[in-house]
Amino acid sequence: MVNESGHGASDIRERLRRVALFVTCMVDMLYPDVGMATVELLERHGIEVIFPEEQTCCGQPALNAGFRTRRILAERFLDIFEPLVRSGRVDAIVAPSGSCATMVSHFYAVLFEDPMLAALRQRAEFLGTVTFELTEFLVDVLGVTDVGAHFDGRLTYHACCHLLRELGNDAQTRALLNQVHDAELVELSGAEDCCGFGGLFAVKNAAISTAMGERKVGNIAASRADVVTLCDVSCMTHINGLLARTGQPCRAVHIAEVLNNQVQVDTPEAASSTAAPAEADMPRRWQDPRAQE
Amino acid sequence: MSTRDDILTRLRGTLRRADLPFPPANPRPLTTAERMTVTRAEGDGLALAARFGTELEKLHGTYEVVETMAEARMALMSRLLAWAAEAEAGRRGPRPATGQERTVLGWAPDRLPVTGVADALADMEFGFIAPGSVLTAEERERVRHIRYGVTGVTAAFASTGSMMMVAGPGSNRSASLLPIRHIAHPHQPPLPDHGSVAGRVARGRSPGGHAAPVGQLVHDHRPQQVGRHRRRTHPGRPRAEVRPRDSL
Amino acid sequence: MATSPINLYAPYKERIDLAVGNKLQANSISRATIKLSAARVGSLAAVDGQELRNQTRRMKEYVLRNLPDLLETLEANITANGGHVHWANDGAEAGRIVLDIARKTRAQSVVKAKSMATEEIHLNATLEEAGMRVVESDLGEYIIQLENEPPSHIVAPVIHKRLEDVADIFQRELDLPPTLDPEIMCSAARQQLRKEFLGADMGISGCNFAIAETGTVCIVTNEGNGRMTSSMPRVYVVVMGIEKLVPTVEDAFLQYQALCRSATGQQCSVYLSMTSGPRRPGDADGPDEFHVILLDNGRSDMLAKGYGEALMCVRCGACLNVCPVYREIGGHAYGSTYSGPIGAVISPLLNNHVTNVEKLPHASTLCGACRDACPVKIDLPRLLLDHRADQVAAGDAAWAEQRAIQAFVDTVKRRGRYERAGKLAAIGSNLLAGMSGGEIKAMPPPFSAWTQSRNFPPFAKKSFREQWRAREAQKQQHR
Repeated sequence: MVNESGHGASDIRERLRRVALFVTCMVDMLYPDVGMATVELLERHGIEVIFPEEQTCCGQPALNAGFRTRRILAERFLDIFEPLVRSGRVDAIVAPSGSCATMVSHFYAVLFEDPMLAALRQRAEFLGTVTFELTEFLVDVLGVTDVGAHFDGRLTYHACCHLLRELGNDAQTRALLNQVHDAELVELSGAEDCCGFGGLFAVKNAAISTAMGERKVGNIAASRADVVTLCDVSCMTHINGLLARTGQPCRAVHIAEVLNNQVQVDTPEAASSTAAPAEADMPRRWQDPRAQE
Repeated sequence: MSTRDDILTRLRGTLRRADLPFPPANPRPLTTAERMTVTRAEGDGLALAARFGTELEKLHGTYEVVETMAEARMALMSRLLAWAAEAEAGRRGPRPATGQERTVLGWAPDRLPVTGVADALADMEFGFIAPGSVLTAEERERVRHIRYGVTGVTAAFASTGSMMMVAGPGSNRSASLLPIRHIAHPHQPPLPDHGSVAGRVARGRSPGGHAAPVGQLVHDHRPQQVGRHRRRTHPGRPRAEVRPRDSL
Repeated sequence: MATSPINLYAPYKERIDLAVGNKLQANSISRATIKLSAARVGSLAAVDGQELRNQTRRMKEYVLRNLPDLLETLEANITANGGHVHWANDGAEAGRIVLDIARKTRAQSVVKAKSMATEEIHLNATLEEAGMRVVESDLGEYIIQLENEPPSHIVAPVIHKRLEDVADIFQRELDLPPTLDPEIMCSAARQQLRKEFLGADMGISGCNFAIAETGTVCIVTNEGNGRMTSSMPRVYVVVMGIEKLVPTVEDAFLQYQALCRSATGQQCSVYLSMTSGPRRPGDADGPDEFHVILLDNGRSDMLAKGYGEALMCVRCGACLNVCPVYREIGGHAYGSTYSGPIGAVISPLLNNHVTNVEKLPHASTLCGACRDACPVKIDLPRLLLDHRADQVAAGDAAWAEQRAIQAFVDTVKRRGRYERAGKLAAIGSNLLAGMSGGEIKAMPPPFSAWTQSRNFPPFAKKSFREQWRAREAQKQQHR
């Protein structure tokens, strides 16, 4: 499974033994299965995962809303993770979120832009160089594309904005998805268009946010996919919120769960994937096996 | 303080600030060597003419490469007759009588690279007018319904199918502006790209190094637009008969 | 004139609700902008598009750094060419200058080429109030002038209208028989406009870029109306923002390519009309007088307040075309002459009346599509964030929002509080979700803004960290 070509990559792998999981507050509180999938994926590739339990939120909501002087969460993040990296206890920080990884690697620089905060900015810049979004870490650092995932159904992919445009990660996720065995991959029309989440935007501009989401969900329905996968649970929450409300059978699933074989599609009574159930409460065709435990 | 000084002082004061996040402190201007040529056509005169024609046709223009002055006149006439026939065939209702249906508006004969245009037109019962002035209402009334314009070209650009026309004595704006159809005669092969050439034209044509007063770059015309439909005849391969007018 | 349902001055929420409710419009704007975006991508891919963007940006950075000197150079060269240069601090001053020129030249009727700068200062209204007749000559602008509406897009002012809408307007205003044939409609407009061109005393246009070294104003058009405006009337007046400069002719052609490819995906526009001065002796046609009005109207403040990057904007509209917010709400909902991401950045800084302008920087998910489309790589999401930060710094954030952010930060900055809050949320949200089949379908304000249209999942009964601890404990046992 591990791509053995290239000495550089294997050198990095040789060095890389341990990573700190930055699970993100939303995964922690709302989607622990995504966190567990991330841990298991990393462990299966010989990476030891530690979870610094002091971590909470990276602070993006405050920055996004303009509260740039509320830097405490970012400083906290530096205090928690930096010593782990500096002391060599971990070699990298991995997050199952393009947006939260971007906050550390790109937006902390904005937060600490003031020349008075140069010391903090330097620490953030250092941390930014070792902070990776999960798929980026798997493909770019570990050199893996086939993680042994299997999915028996129609799969499409929504490119989350920060992942795509700040981290420049598109080929990586697509390379991983291309190696999901048995999956029927379909391109999502407008895959790169924002789903309309946007943090507080989803509430402050709920009408626009919903309209954007409806367009996204319309494209998802047109793809006739069983599952739309993506790399951020925030966008996933938004898309699922609309898919469920509008009675669509499709669900958005975090890529870690797809890659970790946590998703199955029921194909009972030859349910045509074109026919959308009229009722929002129709039994879901999509299920997470863990939810049944 | 005048508004002018007010604005300039404000700008200068701001630009002096060390904490200004933008623009960068000492950006260098783009040098001629650095500045990219966005599109460029390759090859000899004939290849450039062919590329020019291809680009022009993409934009709904037509072109013809002619070898001699006689061919150029012939191409011009056949194009005009075809348009006149087309207009007649497409006409619904009574024939409009503006009296300008068979008149051609053009640059002064000595500014046209093709000689004998007026005589050739007269042979086919077309009138030709190269007005010295199109300023007053009466002067405009005499040309406003003319459907065909004939002009020279200051420079043609092969990579985009564009032509540059610089207005001046004898080279009026109206002939390439008012008629719904336009025939242009580049007198030299099209140039491979825009940039520096256009610069030389703009700078060189006017006294004291200033720009020519009015230039324009013309390309296609999509039929649904308000302006005029343009068609062009292009004598692309210069022969001795096609006198280069004035140098760029 | 018809009364348009569009009220630019309505409160933000009203404008948004009206726009979001108009699905027909959103769908047609979405289709049109997706098409324009594809054309842009294709035309930039046909050349070294990245290098074109890099170089155009570098050139504009140079312009802004040297703006005062370049403005003086431009002024000197226009004057040497026989033109006149005027300076205006704001729209009112620009309006007075135009009226003064009109009075001195006894100009009564005006044809206008499409110009965002004159829209920005509502010049038409000023001239009409003074008894002048003003006709827009760009087909799109002409249509919305008939409808008494402002433009809804920087490049395609009538993008919010469908062919059927235009047909209705032409039937009503031009007595055209019912038709959906664009050829016939265009022909009718052309005949009407031709009369205006030949009879107007004054032509007014904006400026896509002005070349400092030659004193040349360049306008980029696809309909030839720009050149009509600059050539036919006795007096030609240009209103341009002070930032719309390029140093040399070669730079102009560089920006010309970046602009056309980004705006419509064309290699070049149909016309590029260049004017450096009035008609010269021996010319058969051309204007007697040439006036250029350099308009500030908030631009020098924009630079001073740290938003100078936005002054590089070449007004191509690419950021509107890719913006998922613009696609849903169109231009009018912004309430400003300038819409889309660039409009949300510059509207609060221009000297203009925009109702609830403070809301505009929040009308973005910061998805970044605009920055990636911009021909000069303006970091629009960053500038929108800067606006939000400036509002907070000025104490302009809503009280409830300040409290909410403060409460959030205070909660999650301590691990114990964070975990306890998570536990409470898990209990509460599962109760709510349990009542409605597994997901939350209704919440009290302000969360109702979410649940009105979207479900929300309950918090996990066992958070990740709890599962992690259990897993670690199990590992210990097995050891």
